[in-house]
Amino acid sequence: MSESNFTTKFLKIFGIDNRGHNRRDPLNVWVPLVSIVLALIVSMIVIAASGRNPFRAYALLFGDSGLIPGGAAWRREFAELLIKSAMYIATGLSVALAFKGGLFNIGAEGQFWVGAIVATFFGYWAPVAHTFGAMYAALGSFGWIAQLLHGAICIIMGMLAGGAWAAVAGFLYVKRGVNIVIGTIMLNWIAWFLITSWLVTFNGPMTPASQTFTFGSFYVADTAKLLRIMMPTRLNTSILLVLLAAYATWFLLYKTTIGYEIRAIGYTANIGMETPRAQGINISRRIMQLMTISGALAGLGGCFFILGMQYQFPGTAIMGYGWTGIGVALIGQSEPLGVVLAGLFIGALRTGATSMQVANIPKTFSNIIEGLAVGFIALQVAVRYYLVKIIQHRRARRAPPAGQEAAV
Amino acid sequence: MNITQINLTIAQMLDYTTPILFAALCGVLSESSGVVNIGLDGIMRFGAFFGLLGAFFSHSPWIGLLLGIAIGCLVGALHAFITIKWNGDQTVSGTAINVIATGLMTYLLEYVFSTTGYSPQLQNYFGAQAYRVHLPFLVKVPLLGAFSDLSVMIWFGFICTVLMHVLLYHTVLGLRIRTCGENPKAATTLGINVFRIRWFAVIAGAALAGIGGAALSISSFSGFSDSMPNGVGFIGLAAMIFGKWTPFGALGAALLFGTGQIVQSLIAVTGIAPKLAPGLTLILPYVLTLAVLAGFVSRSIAPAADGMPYYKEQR
Repeated sequence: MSESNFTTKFLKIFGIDNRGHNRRDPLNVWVPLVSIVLALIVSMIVIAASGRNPFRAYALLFGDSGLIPGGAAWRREFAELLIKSAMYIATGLSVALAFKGGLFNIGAEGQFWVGAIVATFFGYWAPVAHTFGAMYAALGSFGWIAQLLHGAICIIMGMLAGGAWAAVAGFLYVKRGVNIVIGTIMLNWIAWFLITSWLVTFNGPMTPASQTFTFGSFYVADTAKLLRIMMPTRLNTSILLVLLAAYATWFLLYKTTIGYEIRAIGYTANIGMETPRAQGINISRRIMQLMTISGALAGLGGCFFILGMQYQFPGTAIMGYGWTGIGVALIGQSEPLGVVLAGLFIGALRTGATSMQVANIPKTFSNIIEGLAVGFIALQVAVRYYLVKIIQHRRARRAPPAGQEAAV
Repeated sequence: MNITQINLTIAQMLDYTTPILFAALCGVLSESSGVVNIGLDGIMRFGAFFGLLGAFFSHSPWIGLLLGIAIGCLVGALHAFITIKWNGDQTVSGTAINVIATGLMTYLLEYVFSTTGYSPQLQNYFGAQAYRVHLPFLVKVPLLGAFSDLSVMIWFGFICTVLMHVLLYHTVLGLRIRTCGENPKAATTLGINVFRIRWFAVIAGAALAGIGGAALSISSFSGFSDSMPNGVGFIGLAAMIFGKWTPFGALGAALLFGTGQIVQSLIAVTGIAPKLAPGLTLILPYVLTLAVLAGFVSRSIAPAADGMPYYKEQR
């Protein structure tokens, strides 16, 4: 189509590549905001078109999202918001970090499950659980040390497992040229079927033998559960850990050599990576490291899911934390701070969505908002184009008429 | 295990194969032109729901099929609009379609039928006796007996495979589609409008994915369930790669993966390996796909310009 000519010209003029890697561009902040607003408007139209009141729906959605203080249930909602957000931020960071290196880690979902299942295993596995149980009893009022240590072991193992799972995709990409998107999608389903059809299934290796029906895996020991930090809600340390992870990701990306090299690879990923190669960067090695760290972050999310929320691998596993992580990373424009904010937003949507059932709207409605927001991010060249047009139009109106300018 | 049982098992395998085949054909057409469509799982979900919707209210699965095709085209056009007109990231756009499909179909299921989880069951669907293709002369023939009583969608799948092969390898349009996928600049110098060809390939491919979704809800099953398509779109993507981006390759891979889906019931019937955990057979398609991609079994190479947005004036 001839219209794409102006797209090309536009891209040239503003020096933007199609993923918006230009970090100093102020439009980077506007694009996700405009995308969210557009997504909210379109979702509103969907609700209105189905004969329901969009304003009532949104009042319920945001009223119970935990974002607005006040009200009897606010503390509980706020805690739920932070618990959910912690997982979305973890998977979001995983995807965002891979984006920075020019890789689309669509496998955060699988890495999340692998992290979760391994955390579950180290949570209930008798040798570990008994050791820390005895330690907890022996330490008396210092029992929290046993809790910290057991939790730390579960989380480290879960992160290592998630990292290893992603490293498989990285290895196949680096050594055998398997596209990372395809490789991670396949690994997602391998993890999914291994867990739901073998490990956690009726009479599976990780389920109690007495079950007549699948209710999920064994429960983790009490010492493995994350400490609660705001009684009586179930808010736990996951939000603090994930903020630490976000800071570590930022530090890695912008304050270390490896981060610089990862970004150099990411900038040139579409054009052959000749510059970083000429600089002497070991691309294969960096990509392997990048995928491992990315997978470890997704695995961290899985650990939160088990140790902070479910305490077992559930029989009817809830899918989608990794997929949502992609949306979080895109809305957050792959910047750690942006990912934290986007994760909080998505967590708020998910928390409030349950209340929309009062207005006859299923709680999966938040998926529509989120999907639309991602859709508008995919359309970001168009969004940027019209934003620039609006800015130019406003400048032109403020500036003196063209005739006077020409005379000067 | 008598002949009826064997026939039933083969027929069941073909029932599983058909949606995978349509998804794979969608991928083949779209990626031959250079546009990755990982949103085909979401398009199948659209097709499955709207196929059921048409069949439910018109009492005819044909209307359902048409509606499935129509919605497939519509979502395909959205994908084309984002990725071809505005050069959006193809994987991001596909992800968006998948996420929207998850939320929107659940919403519509609740809105139209006031139920959650499952739609009402259909009386008139392609799997019903009245809509099956009966070939009585095949009943007594060993192995081919399974083909004597199949849903019309299964035959439709086979026909589409042949048509796609003819289109891609024996027509001018097919040559142009493949040129756009291999080297869009060369195509432009030959006077081919890359954008128009890609629009066509994406929309036609998405229509096939829509049919694939409808094949789930109004042929393999007699209703829509909220978990549909349950990753069938991604198996289709795997089948496309396993079949080396060719229609007949996709058919072969879809048959193999369809067999993988029923291996469990085969094992139960024949008692070959009762101890094998189901998870270990279900991962087979994916492990095979990775092995093929990594070149451990045989090499599978994507079209050269697959996934690359095309900028007309860029050198």
